[in-house]
Amino acid sequence: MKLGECLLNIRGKRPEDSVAPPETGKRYGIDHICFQVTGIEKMLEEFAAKGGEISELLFELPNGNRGAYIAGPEG
Amino acid sequence: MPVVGHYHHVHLISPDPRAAAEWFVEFLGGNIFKDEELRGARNVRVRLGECMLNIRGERESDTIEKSITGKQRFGIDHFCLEVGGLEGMLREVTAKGGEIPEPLFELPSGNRAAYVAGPDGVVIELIEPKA
Repeated sequence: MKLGECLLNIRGKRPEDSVAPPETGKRYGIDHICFQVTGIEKMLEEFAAKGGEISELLFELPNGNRGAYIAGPEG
Repeated sequence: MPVVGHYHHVHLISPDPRAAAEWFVEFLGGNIFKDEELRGARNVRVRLGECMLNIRGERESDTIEKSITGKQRFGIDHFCLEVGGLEGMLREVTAKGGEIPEPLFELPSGNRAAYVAGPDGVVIELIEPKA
């Protein structure tokens, strides 16, 4: 699927995959991916209205950029 | 369309973010352009081509799952970088002691790819588009 110019490949479990049970905390390695968006406040409102979970509300970085974290599928 | 452009960044967590960043410099020709305290942890930024990696250390508020099961998990699995000269890159990675868990293979599209093992369990796919 495409999100803006970003490509996400989402595959199912292969027979040879050995998948660990869900973890409760973070782990070292890849933590999250970040998309650049426009109209972030409206996006968050719409996301919450649809029942989406906002893990970390809107915040401002030292450089003035604003960000938020949302929970996607499968953790 | 609310999402614009390419990925802004991929964020990694490492017990030693500077060392992890230096891995990307040594093995994949990255460039460290920022090393700062940000939101409660050291955060090192690396450029790889036009891609940005942010690598941060642990925050006091983090609960890090430290058990290494050797298993995959659902969710984010790896990230993929487009490269040129894939075979040469893989030779260099091997010569420097890097691990290639899945050697060169060809996709149905004709693109060629391989997986290399990065720091802290990160899996990186390198893909070379069909000429």
